[in-house]
Amino acid sequence: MSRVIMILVVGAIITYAYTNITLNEYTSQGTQNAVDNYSYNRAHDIANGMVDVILMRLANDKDYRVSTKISENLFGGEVSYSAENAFFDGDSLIKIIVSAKFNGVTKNITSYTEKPGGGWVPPVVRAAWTANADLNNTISDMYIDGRNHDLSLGIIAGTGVAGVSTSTTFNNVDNAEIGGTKAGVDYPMSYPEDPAVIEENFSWGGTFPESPDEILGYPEGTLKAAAQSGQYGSQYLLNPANSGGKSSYILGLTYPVSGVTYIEITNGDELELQFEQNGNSGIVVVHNSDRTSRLKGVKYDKSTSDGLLTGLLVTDYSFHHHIDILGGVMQLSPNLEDSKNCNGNKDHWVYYSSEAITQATETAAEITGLSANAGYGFGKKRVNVKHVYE
Amino acid sequence: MAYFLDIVGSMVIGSIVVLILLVLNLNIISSSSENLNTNIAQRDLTTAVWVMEYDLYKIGYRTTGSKLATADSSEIKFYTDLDNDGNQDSIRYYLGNVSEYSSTSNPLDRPLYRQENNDSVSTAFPVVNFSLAYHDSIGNRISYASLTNQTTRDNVRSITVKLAIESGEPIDGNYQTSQWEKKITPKNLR
Repeated sequence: MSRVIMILVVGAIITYAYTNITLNEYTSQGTQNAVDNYSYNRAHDIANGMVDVILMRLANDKDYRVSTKISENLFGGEVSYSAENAFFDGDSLIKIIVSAKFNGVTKNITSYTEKPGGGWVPPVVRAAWTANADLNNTISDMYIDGRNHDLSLGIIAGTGVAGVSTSTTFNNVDNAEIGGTKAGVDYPMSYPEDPAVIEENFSWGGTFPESPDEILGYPEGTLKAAAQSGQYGSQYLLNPANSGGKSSYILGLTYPVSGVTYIEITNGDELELQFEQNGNSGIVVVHNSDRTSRLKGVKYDKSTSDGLLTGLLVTDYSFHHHIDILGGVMQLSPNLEDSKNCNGNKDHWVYYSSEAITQATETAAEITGLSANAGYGFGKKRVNVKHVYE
Repeated sequence: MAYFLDIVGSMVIGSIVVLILLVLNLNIISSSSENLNTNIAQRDLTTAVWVMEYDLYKIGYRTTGSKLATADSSEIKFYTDLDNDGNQDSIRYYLGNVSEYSSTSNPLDRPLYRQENNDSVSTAFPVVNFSLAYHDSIGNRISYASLTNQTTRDNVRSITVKLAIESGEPIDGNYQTSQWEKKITPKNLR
Protein backbone atom coordinates (compact mmCIF):
# COMPACT_ATOMS: atom_id res chain seq x y z
CA MET A 1 0.00 0.00 0.00
CA SER A 2 2.70 2.41 1.02
CA ARG A 3 4.46 1.66 -2.22
CA VAL A 4 1.31 2.57 -4.17
CA ILE A 5 0.99 5.83 -2.25
CA MET A 6 4.64 6.52 -2.82
CA ILE A 7 4.25 5.97 -6.56
CA LEU A 8 1.19 8.22 -6.60
CA VAL A 9 2.94 10.97 -4.64
CA VAL A 10 6.03 10.86 -6.83
CA GLY A 11 3.84 10.74 -9.96
CA ALA A 12 1.82 13.69 -8.72
CA ILE A 13 4.98 15.65 -7.97
CA ILE A 14 6.30 14.93 -11.46
CA THR A 15 2.95 15.90 -13.05
CA TYR A 16 2.78 19.02 -10.91
CA ALA A 17 6.33 19.99 -11.74
CA TYR A 18 5.83 19.42 -15.46
CA THR A 19 2.52 21.27 -15.50
CA ASN A 20 3.97 24.08 -13.47
CA ILE A 21 6.88 24.48 -15.85
CA THR A 22 4.50 24.47 -18.83
CA LEU A 23 2.25 26.96 -17.07
CA ASN A 24 5.19 29.23 -16.44
CA GLU A 25 6.13 29.00 -20.09
CA TYR A 26 2.61 30.03 -21.12
CA THR A 27 2.69 32.90 -18.66
CA SER A 28 6.10 33.97 -19.95
CA GLN A 29 4.88 33.78 -23.53
CA GLY A 30 1.83 35.84 -22.64
CA THR A 31 4.02 38.39 -20.91
CA GLN A 32 6.44 38.31 -23.84
CA ASN A 33 3.56 39.01 -26.25
CA ALA A 34 2.60 42.04 -24.20
CA VAL A 35 6.22 43.19 -23.92
CA ASP A 36 6.77 42.72 -27.67
CA ASN A 37 3.63 44.67 -28.46
CA TYR A 38 4.63 47.45 -26.09
CA SER A 39 8.15 47.48 -27.56
CA TYR A 40 6.77 47.60 -31.07
CA ASN A 41 4.59 50.58 -30.18
CA ARG A 42 7.46 52.32 -28.42
CA ALA A 43 9.78 51.71 -31.39
CA HIS A 44 7.04 53.04 -33.68
CA ASP A 45 6.60 56.14 -31.53
CA ILE A 46 10.34 56.73 -31.33
CA ALA A 47 10.71 56.41 -35.11
CA ASN A 48 7.81 58.81 -35.67
CA GLY A 49 9.23 61.18 -33.08
CA MET A 50 12.56 61.25 -34.89
CA VAL A 51 10.86 61.91 -38.23
CA ASP A 52 9.08 64.85 -36.59
CA VAL A 53 12.35 66.13 -35.14
CA ILE A 54 13.98 65.96 -38.58
CA LEU A 55 11.01 67.77 -40.14
CA MET A 56 11.41 70.52 -37.56
CA ARG A 57 15.11 70.74 -38.33
CA LEU A 58 14.30 71.00 -42.04
CA ALA A 59 11.71 73.66 -41.36
CA ASN A 60 14.24 75.58 -39.35
CA ASP A 61 17.06 75.14 -41.84
CA LYS A 62 16.14 74.33 -45.41
CA ASP A 63 19.69 73.16 -46.12
CA TYR A 64 19.67 70.58 -43.31
CA ARG A 65 20.75 67.17 -44.65
CA VAL A 66 22.28 64.07 -43.08
CA SER A 67 24.07 61.99 -45.69
CA THR A 68 25.82 59.59 -43.29
CA LYS A 69 23.54 57.85 -40.83
CA ILE A 70 23.64 59.26 -37.34
CA SER A 71 22.61 57.35 -34.23
CA GLU A 72 21.34 58.87 -31.05
CA ASN A 73 19.26 58.00 -28.03
CA LEU A 74 15.68 59.14 -28.02
CA PHE A 75 12.86 58.46 -25.57
CA GLY A 76 14.64 55.49 -24.05
CA GLY A 77 15.42 53.85 -27.39
CA GLU A 78 18.09 54.13 -30.02
CA VAL A 79 17.44 55.75 -33.33
CA SER A 80 19.50 56.12 -36.48
CA TYR A 81 18.54 58.39 -39.34
CA SER A 82 19.51 60.07 -42.56
CA ALA A 83 17.99 62.86 -44.64
CA GLU A 84 19.14 63.13 -48.22
CA ASN A 85 18.02 64.55 -51.52
CA ALA A 86 16.36 61.91 -53.68
CA PHE A 87 14.17 61.53 -56.71
CA PHE A 88 10.96 59.68 -56.06
CA ASP A 89 8.10 59.21 -58.48
CA GLY A 90 9.57 61.93 -60.66
CA ASP A 91 9.79 64.50 -57.85
CA SER A 92 12.93 65.92 -56.37
CA LEU A 93 12.38 65.37 -52.66
CA ILE A 94 14.17 64.82 -49.38
CA LYS A 95 14.22 61.18 -48.30
CA ILE A 96 14.22 60.70 -44.54
CA ILE A 97 15.06 57.23 -43.30
CA VAL A 98 14.61 56.49 -39.62
CA SER A 99 15.27 53.22 -37.86
CA ALA A 100 14.29 53.01 -34.20
CA LYS A 101 15.15 50.22 -31.77
CA PHE A 102 13.47 49.61 -28.48
CA ASN A 103 13.99 46.52 -26.38
CA GLY A 104 15.18 44.52 -29.36
CA VAL A 105 12.30 45.56 -31.64
CA THR A 106 13.15 47.60 -34.73
CA LYS A 107 10.78 49.91 -36.57
CA ASN A 108 11.69 51.61 -39.84
CA ILE A 109 10.00 54.64 -41.37
CA THR A 110 10.78 56.25 -44.71
CA SER A 111 9.36 59.66 -45.35
CA TYR A 112 9.56 61.72 -48.53
CA THR A 113 9.33 65.44 -48.01
CA GLU A 114 9.26 68.36 -50.37
CA LYS A 115 12.31 70.54 -50.23
CA PRO A 116 11.41 73.44 -48.00
CA GLY A 117 11.62 76.79 -49.64
CA GLY A 118 10.42 80.16 -48.56
CA GLY A 119 7.31 79.88 -50.70
CA TRP A 120 4.06 78.08 -50.15
CA VAL A 121 0.51 77.96 -51.36
CA PRO A 122 -1.72 79.66 -48.80
CA PRO A 123 -4.39 77.22 -47.65
CA VAL A 124 -7.10 79.82 -48.34
CA VAL A 125 -6.38 79.48 -52.06
CA ARG A 126 -9.02 76.83 -52.50
CA ALA A 127 -9.48 77.22 -56.22
CA ALA A 128 -8.12 78.88 -59.32
CA TRP A 129 -10.60 81.61 -58.40
CA THR A 130 -11.56 81.96 -54.73
CA ALA A 131 -14.05 84.38 -53.21
CA ASN A 132 -16.37 84.77 -50.27
CA ALA A 133 -19.15 86.11 -52.48
CA ASP A 134 -21.20 85.49 -55.58
CA LEU A 135 -18.88 84.82 -58.54
CA ASN A 136 -21.56 84.17 -61.16
CA ASN A 137 -20.99 87.36 -63.12
CA THR A 138 -17.37 88.00 -62.26
CA ILE A 139 -15.80 84.97 -63.89
CA SER A 140 -17.55 85.75 -67.18
CA ASP A 141 -16.79 83.37 -70.03
CA MET A 142 -13.10 82.82 -69.33
CA TYR A 143 -11.28 79.53 -69.22
CA ILE A 144 -10.73 78.64 -65.59
CA ASP A 145 -8.76 75.58 -64.61
CA GLY A 146 -8.03 74.42 -61.07
CA ARG A 147 -5.77 71.62 -62.27
CA ASN A 148 -2.22 72.23 -61.14
CA HIS A 149 -0.09 73.69 -63.92
CA ASP A 150 3.67 74.01 -63.92
CA LEU A 151 5.31 77.15 -65.21
CA SER A 152 5.31 75.73 -68.75
CA LEU A 153 1.54 75.13 -68.54
CA GLY A 154 2.03 71.37 -68.22
CA ILE A 155 -0.41 69.69 -65.87
CA ILE A 156 0.86 68.13 -62.63
CA ALA A 157 -1.66 65.33 -62.32
CA GLY A 158 -3.92 64.98 -59.31
CA THR A 159 -2.53 67.89 -57.31
CA GLY A 160 -4.84 70.73 -58.24
CA VAL A 161 -7.74 72.46 -56.57
CA ALA A 162 -11.30 73.42 -57.49
CA GLY A 163 -11.89 75.66 -60.49
CA VAL A 164 -14.11 78.04 -58.54
CA SER A 165 -14.64 78.30 -54.79
CA THR A 166 -17.39 80.50 -53.43
CA SER A 167 -19.33 80.79 -50.21
CA THR A 168 -22.57 81.20 -52.17
CA THR A 169 -24.29 79.14 -54.82
CA PHE A 170 -22.66 79.22 -58.21
CA ASN A 171 -24.24 79.50 -61.64
CA ASN A 172 -22.06 79.56 -64.69
CA VAL A 173 -24.19 82.27 -66.33
CA ASP A 174 -21.72 83.21 -69.06
CA ASN A 175 -20.80 79.66 -70.07
CA ALA A 176 -17.21 79.69 -68.87
CA GLU A 177 -15.27 76.51 -69.41
CA ILE A 178 -14.13 75.31 -66.01
CA GLY A 179 -11.88 72.47 -64.94
CA GLY A 180 -10.18 71.44 -61.74
CA THR A 181 -9.14 68.67 -59.41
CA LYS A 182 -11.13 66.94 -56.71
CA ALA A 183 -9.83 64.17 -54.46
CA GLY A 184 -6.85 63.69 -56.75
CA VAL A 185 -8.95 63.36 -59.89
CA ASP A 186 -8.40 65.90 -62.66
CA TYR A 187 -11.35 67.22 -64.62
CA PRO A 188 -10.50 69.02 -67.87
CA MET A 189 -12.13 72.34 -68.62
CA SER A 190 -15.59 72.03 -70.10
CA TYR A 191 -18.93 73.71 -70.39
CA PRO A 192 -21.10 72.71 -68.75
CA GLU A 193 -18.47 72.05 -66.12
CA ASP A 194 -18.27 68.91 -64.03
CA PRO A 195 -19.85 69.75 -60.64
CA ALA A 196 -16.78 68.28 -58.97
CA VAL A 197 -14.71 71.32 -59.97
CA ILE A 198 -17.02 73.81 -58.28
CA GLU A 199 -16.86 74.39 -54.55
CA GLU A 200 -20.03 76.30 -53.75
CA ASN A 201 -21.63 77.28 -50.45
CA PHE A 202 -18.27 76.77 -48.81
CA SER A 203 -18.48 77.64 -45.13
CA TRP A 204 -15.46 79.66 -44.06
CA GLY A 205 -16.72 79.87 -40.51
CA GLY A 206 -15.34 83.39 -40.13
CA THR A 207 -11.90 82.48 -41.41
CA PHE A 208 -12.07 84.08 -44.86
CA PRO A 209 -9.19 86.54 -45.11
CA GLU A 210 -10.20 90.19 -44.98
CA SER A 211 -6.85 91.49 -46.13
CA PRO A 212 -3.98 90.38 -48.36
CA ASP A 213 -1.87 89.87 -45.25
CA GLU A 214 -4.40 87.43 -43.86
CA ILE A 215 -4.15 85.39 -47.05
CA LEU A 216 -0.49 84.81 -46.34
CA GLY A 217 -0.94 84.68 -42.58
CA TYR A 218 1.16 87.82 -42.13
CA PRO A 219 0.75 90.50 -39.48
CA GLU A 220 -1.31 93.39 -40.83
CA GLY A 221 0.76 95.85 -42.88
CA THR A 222 3.51 93.38 -43.79
CA LEU A 223 2.77 93.16 -47.51
CA LYS A 224 2.38 96.91 -47.80
CA ALA A 225 5.76 97.36 -46.14
CA ALA A 226 7.20 94.74 -48.47
CA ALA A 227 5.86 96.63 -51.47
CA GLN A 228 7.26 99.90 -50.12
CA SER A 229 10.68 98.30 -49.66
CA GLY A 230 11.13 98.13 -53.42
CA GLN A 231 12.91 94.78 -53.13
CA TYR A 232 12.61 92.36 -56.06
CA GLY A 233 10.88 95.08 -58.06
CA SER A 234 8.14 95.60 -55.49
CA GLN A 235 6.03 98.75 -55.83
CA TYR A 236 3.49 100.59 -53.73
CA LEU A 237 0.94 103.16 -54.90
CA LEU A 238 -1.61 105.03 -52.83
CA ASN A 239 -4.56 106.49 -54.73
CA PRO A 240 -2.61 106.42 -57.98
CA ALA A 241 -2.95 108.86 -60.82
CA ASN A 242 -4.88 107.55 -63.77
CA SER A 243 -5.00 108.03 -67.49
CA GLY A 244 -8.45 109.57 -67.37
CA GLY A 245 -11.05 108.94 -69.99
CA LYS A 246 -13.25 105.90 -70.08
CA SER A 247 -10.58 103.42 -69.11
CA SER A 248 -8.90 105.44 -66.33
CA TYR A 249 -6.07 103.00 -66.04
CA ILE A 250 -3.58 103.29 -63.25
CA LEU A 251 -0.40 105.29 -63.88
CA GLY A 252 2.82 105.18 -61.97
CA LEU A 253 3.77 101.52 -62.07
CA THR A 254 6.97 100.29 -63.64
CA TYR A 255 6.44 97.21 -65.80
CA PRO A 256 6.89 94.31 -65.73
CA VAL A 257 5.72 94.16 -62.15
CA SER A 258 7.41 91.71 -59.82
CA GLY A 259 7.82 91.00 -56.12
CA VAL A 260 4.90 92.57 -54.26
CA THR A 261 2.84 95.16 -56.12
CA TYR A 262 0.46 96.85 -53.70
CA ILE A 263 -2.04 99.45 -54.88
CA GLU A 264 -4.15 101.06 -52.20
CA ILE A 265 -7.24 102.92 -53.38
CA THR A 266 -9.00 104.80 -50.61
CA ASN A 267 -10.46 107.74 -52.53
CA GLY A 268 -13.27 105.86 -54.23
CA ASP A 269 -11.74 106.02 -57.71
CA GLU A 270 -12.85 103.21 -59.97
CA LEU A 271 -9.82 102.36 -62.07
CA GLU A 272 -8.38 99.87 -64.49
CA LEU A 273 -5.12 98.01 -64.15
CA GLN A 274 -3.37 97.73 -67.48
CA PHE A 275 -0.30 95.51 -67.65
CA GLU A 276 2.55 96.53 -69.91
CA GLN A 277 5.56 94.49 -71.04
CA ASN A 278 6.07 90.75 -70.71
CA GLY A 279 7.10 88.89 -67.58
CA ASN A 280 4.65 90.36 -65.06
CA SER A 281 4.83 88.30 -61.90
CA GLY A 282 4.51 88.13 -58.13
CA ILE A 283 1.71 89.15 -55.82
CA VAL A 284 -0.44 91.93 -57.23
CA VAL A 285 -2.77 93.56 -54.71
CA VAL A 286 -5.46 96.18 -55.24
CA HIS A 287 -7.11 96.80 -51.90
CA ASN A 288 -8.17 99.09 -49.10
CA SER A 289 -8.85 98.33 -45.47
CA ASP A 290 -12.63 98.42 -45.99
CA ARG A 291 -12.38 96.02 -48.93
CA THR A 292 -14.24 98.60 -51.06
CA SER A 293 -11.65 99.34 -53.73
CA ARG A 294 -13.04 98.76 -57.19
CA LEU A 295 -11.03 97.70 -60.17
CA LYS A 296 -13.32 97.99 -63.15
CA GLY A 297 -10.92 96.30 -65.53
CA VAL A 298 -7.80 94.14 -65.48
CA LYS A 299 -6.31 94.41 -68.94
CA TYR A 300 -3.04 94.62 -70.86
CA ASP A 301 -1.49 96.69 -73.58
CA LYS A 302 -1.55 94.41 -76.59
CA SER A 303 1.18 96.38 -78.31
CA THR A 304 3.75 95.74 -75.57
CA SER A 305 2.59 92.83 -73.45
CA ASP A 306 1.65 89.19 -73.73
CA GLY A 307 -1.00 89.79 -71.06
CA LEU A 308 0.27 87.10 -68.69
CA LEU A 309 0.56 87.50 -64.92
CA THR A 310 2.42 84.69 -63.17
CA GLY A 311 1.52 84.69 -59.51
CA LEU A 312 -1.39 85.72 -57.36
CA LEU A 313 -3.90 88.48 -58.11
CA VAL A 314 -5.65 89.80 -55.00
CA THR A 315 -8.41 92.37 -55.36
CA ASP A 316 -11.37 93.58 -53.35
CA TYR A 317 -13.76 94.00 -56.27
CA SER A 318 -12.56 93.52 -59.83
CA PHE A 319 -14.37 92.97 -63.09
CA HIS A 320 -13.55 92.67 -66.81
CA HIS A 321 -10.56 90.38 -66.43
CA HIS A 322 -8.91 90.49 -69.84
CA ILE A 323 -5.55 88.94 -69.02
CA ASP A 324 -4.15 85.45 -68.50
CA ILE A 325 -3.22 84.44 -64.97
CA LEU A 326 -1.00 81.50 -64.11
CA GLY A 327 -1.36 81.05 -60.38
CA GLY A 328 -4.64 82.11 -58.85
CA VAL A 329 -7.13 84.86 -58.10
CA MET A 330 -8.52 85.84 -54.71
CA GLN A 331 -11.24 88.42 -54.26
CA LEU A 332 -11.81 89.81 -50.79
CA SER A 333 -14.97 91.92 -51.10
CA PRO A 334 -18.26 90.40 -49.96
CA ASN A 335 -19.95 92.37 -52.75
CA LEU A 336 -18.72 91.30 -56.14
CA GLU A 337 -20.37 92.09 -59.46
CA ASP A 338 -23.89 90.68 -59.50
CA SER A 339 -25.60 92.42 -62.41
CA LYS A 340 -23.22 93.29 -65.26
CA ASN A 341 -22.03 90.70 -67.72
CA CYS A 342 -18.60 90.58 -69.23
CA ASN A 343 -18.68 88.55 -72.36
CA GLY A 344 -15.82 88.75 -74.79
CA ASN A 345 -12.85 87.55 -72.78
CA LYS A 346 -13.15 83.96 -73.85
CA ASP A 347 -9.62 84.25 -75.18
CA HIS A 348 -8.24 84.58 -71.65
CA TRP A 349 -7.69 82.15 -68.84
CA VAL A 350 -6.89 81.62 -65.18
CA TYR A 351 -4.90 78.45 -64.54
CA TYR A 352 -4.10 77.37 -61.02
CA SER A 353 -0.38 76.85 -60.52
CA SER A 354 1.13 75.94 -57.17
CA GLU A 355 4.57 76.63 -58.64
CA ALA A 356 3.61 80.15 -59.68
CA ILE A 357 2.02 80.90 -56.31
CA THR A 358 4.94 79.34 -54.43
CA GLN A 359 7.33 81.45 -56.48
CA ALA A 360 5.34 84.58 -55.64
CA THR A 361 5.09 83.85 -51.92
CA GLU A 362 8.76 82.86 -51.84
CA THR A 363 9.68 86.32 -53.00
CA ALA A 364 7.38 87.79 -50.36
CA ALA A 365 9.05 85.57 -47.78
CA GLU A 366 12.49 86.72 -48.93
CA ILE A 367 11.48 90.35 -48.54
CA THR A 368 9.64 90.02 -45.24
CA GLY A 369 11.68 87.24 -43.69
CA LEU A 370 8.39 85.56 -42.91
CA SER A 371 7.20 82.30 -44.32
CA ALA A 372 3.74 80.88 -43.74
CA ASN A 373 2.53 81.39 -40.17
CA ALA A 374 0.44 78.26 -40.36
CA GLY A 375 2.69 75.30 -40.54
CA TYR A 376 5.32 73.23 -38.97
CA GLY A 377 8.53 73.89 -37.17
CA PHE A 378 10.23 76.46 -35.02
CA GLY A 379 9.59 79.27 -37.45
CA LYS A 380 6.13 77.86 -38.12
CA LYS A 381 7.26 77.14 -41.60
CA ARG A 382 5.53 74.48 -43.61
CA VAL A 383 7.29 71.30 -44.65
CA ASN A 384 5.15 69.28 -46.97
CA VAL A 385 5.42 65.54 -46.42
CA LYS A 386 4.56 63.79 -49.67
CA HIS A 387 4.78 60.10 -48.76
CA VAL A 388 5.29 58.11 -45.58
CA TYR A 389 6.09 54.41 -45.60
CA GLU A 390 5.82 53.04 -42.09
CA MET B 1 -5.96 -5.03 16.50
CA ALA B 2 -3.38 -2.26 16.63
CA TYR B 3 -1.89 -3.52 13.38
CA PHE B 4 -5.35 -3.47 11.76
CA LEU B 5 -5.93 0.11 12.95
CA ASP B 6 -2.55 1.13 11.56
CA ILE B 7 -3.49 -0.26 8.15
CA VAL B 8 -6.95 1.38 8.15
CA GLY B 9 -5.53 4.67 9.40
CA SER B 10 -2.77 4.75 6.80
CA MET B 11 -5.31 3.84 4.10
CA VAL B 12 -7.54 6.73 5.13
CA ILE B 13 -4.64 9.16 5.30
CA GLY B 14 -3.22 7.78 2.04
CA SER B 15 -6.61 8.18 0.33
CA ILE B 16 -6.91 11.74 1.57
CA VAL B 17 -3.40 12.50 0.27
CA VAL B 18 -4.26 10.90 -3.07
CA LEU B 19 -7.52 12.85 -3.28
CA ILE B 20 -5.75 16.10 -2.46
CA LEU B 21 -3.15 15.35 -5.12
CA LEU B 22 -5.84 14.49 -7.67
CA VAL B 23 -7.78 17.69 -6.97
CA LEU B 24 -4.55 19.67 -7.12
CA ASN B 25 -3.68 18.05 -10.41
CA LEU B 26 -7.12 18.71 -11.82
CA ASN B 27 -6.88 22.35 -10.80
CA ILE B 28 -3.44 22.65 -12.28
CA ILE B 29 -4.56 21.06 -15.52
CA SER B 30 -7.62 23.30 -15.66
CA SER B 31 -5.67 26.49 -15.08
CA SER B 32 -3.00 25.25 -17.44
CA SER B 33 -5.61 24.79 -20.17
CA GLU B 34 -7.08 28.18 -19.36
CA ASN B 35 -3.65 29.71 -19.59
CA LEU B 36 -2.92 27.88 -22.80
CA ASN B 37 -6.14 29.07 -24.39
CA THR B 38 -5.59 32.63 -23.20
CA ASN B 39 -2.09 32.46 -24.56
CA ILE B 40 -3.30 31.13 -27.90
CA ALA B 41 -5.98 33.84 -28.09
CA GLN B 42 -3.40 36.47 -27.21
CA ARG B 43 -0.93 35.14 -29.75
CA ASP B 44 -3.61 35.06 -32.45
CA LEU B 45 -4.58 38.60 -31.53
CA THR B 46 -0.98 39.81 -31.62
CA THR B 47 -0.48 38.27 -35.05
CA ALA B 48 -3.69 39.81 -36.39
CA VAL B 49 -2.83 43.19 -34.87
CA TRP B 50 0.65 43.26 -36.34
CA VAL B 51 -0.63 42.43 -39.80
CA MET B 52 -3.44 44.98 -39.53
CA GLU B 53 -1.19 47.72 -38.22
CA TYR B 54 1.33 47.01 -40.96
CA ASP B 55 -1.41 47.44 -43.56
CA LEU B 56 -3.44 50.26 -42.07
CA TYR B 57 -0.52 52.62 -41.48
CA LYS B 58 0.18 52.41 -45.19
CA ILE B 59 -3.26 53.49 -46.41
CA GLY B 60 -2.84 55.91 -49.28
CA TYR B 61 0.90 55.44 -49.73
CA ARG B 62 1.86 56.28 -53.34
CA THR B 63 -1.71 56.20 -54.54
CA THR B 64 -3.59 58.61 -56.72
CA GLY B 65 -7.29 59.27 -56.45
CA SER B 66 -9.43 58.09 -53.59
CA LYS B 67 -7.67 56.06 -50.93
CA LEU B 68 -10.61 54.39 -49.22
CA ALA B 69 -12.88 52.35 -51.46
CA THR B 70 -15.03 50.88 -48.68
CA ALA B 71 -15.46 52.13 -45.13
CA ASP B 72 -18.04 50.27 -43.11
CA SER B 73 -18.44 49.08 -39.52
CA SER B 74 -16.82 45.72 -40.17
CA GLU B 75 -15.30 46.08 -43.60
CA ILE B 76 -12.63 48.27 -45.09
CA LYS B 77 -11.00 48.36 -48.49
CA PHE B 78 -8.18 50.73 -49.23
CA TYR B 79 -5.41 51.43 -51.69
CA THR B 80 -1.70 51.57 -50.99
CA ASP B 81 1.60 50.57 -52.46
CA LEU B 82 2.09 47.82 -49.91
CA ASP B 83 5.43 46.50 -51.11
CA ASN B 84 6.77 49.88 -52.22
CA ASP B 85 7.28 48.74 -55.82
CA GLY B 86 5.45 51.62 -57.49
CA ASN B 87 2.31 49.59 -58.16
CA GLN B 88 -0.90 50.36 -56.35
CA ASP B 89 -2.33 47.52 -54.27
CA SER B 90 -5.74 47.10 -52.74
CA ILE B 91 -6.32 45.54 -49.33
CA ARG B 92 -9.69 44.46 -48.02
CA TYR B 93 -10.62 43.30 -44.53
CA TYR B 94 -14.04 41.81 -44.00
CA LEU B 95 -15.82 39.42 -41.66
CA GLY B 96 -16.97 35.96 -42.66
CA ASN B 97 -19.91 34.08 -41.18
CA VAL B 98 -20.10 32.31 -37.84
CA SER B 99 -21.08 29.14 -39.67
CA GLU B 100 -17.64 29.02 -41.26
CA TYR B 101 -16.17 28.11 -37.87
CA SER B 102 -18.83 25.56 -36.90
CA SER B 103 -16.13 23.06 -35.95
CA THR B 104 -15.36 25.04 -32.78
CA SER B 105 -17.61 25.17 -29.73
CA ASN B 106 -17.51 28.95 -29.59
CA PRO B 107 -20.77 30.25 -31.10
CA LEU B 108 -19.29 33.68 -31.81
CA ASP B 109 -16.02 33.07 -33.56
CA ARG B 110 -15.80 33.75 -37.25
CA PRO B 111 -13.07 34.47 -39.79
CA LEU B 112 -11.71 37.96 -40.41
CA TYR B 113 -10.49 37.81 -43.99
CA ARG B 114 -7.65 39.78 -45.49
CA GLN B 115 -7.76 40.02 -49.27
CA GLU B 116 -4.97 41.56 -51.31
CA ASN B 117 -5.46 42.84 -54.86
CA ASN B 118 -8.64 40.86 -55.48
CA ASP B 119 -6.62 37.65 -55.17
CA SER B 120 -8.23 34.70 -53.51
CA VAL B 121 -8.26 35.21 -49.76
CA SER B 122 -5.02 33.97 -48.27
CA THR B 123 -5.35 35.04 -44.65
CA ALA B 124 -8.12 34.54 -42.13
CA PHE B 125 -7.94 35.45 -38.46
CA PRO B 126 -10.36 33.84 -35.98
CA VAL B 127 -12.18 36.69 -34.22
CA VAL B 128 -15.37 37.26 -32.27
CA ASN B 129 -15.48 41.00 -32.86
CA PHE B 130 -14.03 43.31 -35.48
CA SER B 131 -15.28 46.86 -35.68
CA LEU B 132 -14.10 50.03 -37.32
CA ALA B 133 -14.93 53.67 -36.67
CA TYR B 134 -13.85 56.55 -38.88
CA HIS B 135 -12.89 60.09 -37.93
CA ASP B 136 -12.29 63.33 -39.82
CA SER B 137 -9.39 65.74 -39.44
CA ILE B 138 -10.64 67.17 -36.14
CA GLY B 139 -11.44 63.78 -34.70
CA ASN B 140 -15.20 63.85 -35.19
CA ARG B 141 -16.68 60.46 -35.85
CA ILE B 142 -18.16 60.05 -39.32
CA SER B 143 -21.44 58.15 -39.56
CA TYR B 144 -21.45 54.89 -41.47
CA ALA B 145 -24.40 56.08 -43.55
CA SER B 146 -22.46 59.04 -44.89
CA LEU B 147 -19.43 56.85 -45.60
CA THR B 148 -21.24 55.28 -48.52
CA ASN B 149 -20.37 58.52 -50.29
CA GLN B 150 -16.85 58.72 -51.75
CA THR B 151 -16.58 62.43 -50.92
CA THR B 152 -17.13 61.63 -47.24
CA ARG B 153 -14.68 58.74 -47.37
CA ASP B 154 -12.09 61.17 -48.72
CA ASN B 155 -12.46 63.11 -45.46
CA VAL B 156 -11.41 60.18 -43.28
CA ARG B 157 -8.18 60.92 -41.47
CA SER B 158 -8.07 58.30 -38.72
CA ILE B 159 -9.59 54.91 -38.01
CA THR B 160 -10.35 53.25 -34.70
CA VAL B 161 -10.00 49.49 -34.86
CA LYS B 162 -11.39 47.09 -32.27
CA LEU B 163 -10.53 43.44 -32.36
CA ALA B 164 -11.50 40.64 -29.96
CA ILE B 165 -10.47 37.01 -30.11
CA GLU B 166 -11.82 34.13 -28.00
CA SER B 167 -10.68 30.57 -27.61
CA GLY B 168 -12.48 28.06 -29.75
CA GLU B 169 -13.22 25.75 -26.81
CA PRO B 170 -14.45 26.69 -23.34
CA ILE B 171 -12.70 25.95 -20.05
CA ASP B 172 -15.17 25.56 -17.22
CA GLY B 173 -17.81 27.07 -19.48
CA ASN B 174 -15.78 30.21 -20.22
CA TYR B 175 -14.05 31.25 -23.42
CA GLN B 176 -10.68 32.94 -22.97
CA THR B 177 -10.68 36.44 -24.45
CA SER B 178 -8.09 38.91 -25.73
CA GLN B 179 -9.04 42.36 -26.95
CA TRP B 180 -7.26 45.20 -28.72
CA GLU B 181 -8.31 48.72 -29.65
CA LYS B 182 -6.29 51.42 -31.37
CA LYS B 183 -6.85 54.66 -33.23
CA ILE B 184 -4.64 54.62 -36.29
CA THR B 185 -3.82 57.79 -38.19
CA PRO B 186 -2.29 56.84 -41.54
CA LYS B 187 -0.05 59.73 -42.52
CA ASN B 188 -0.84 59.43 -46.20
CA LEU B 189 -4.53 60.14 -45.56
CA ARG B 190 -4.67 63.89 -46.04
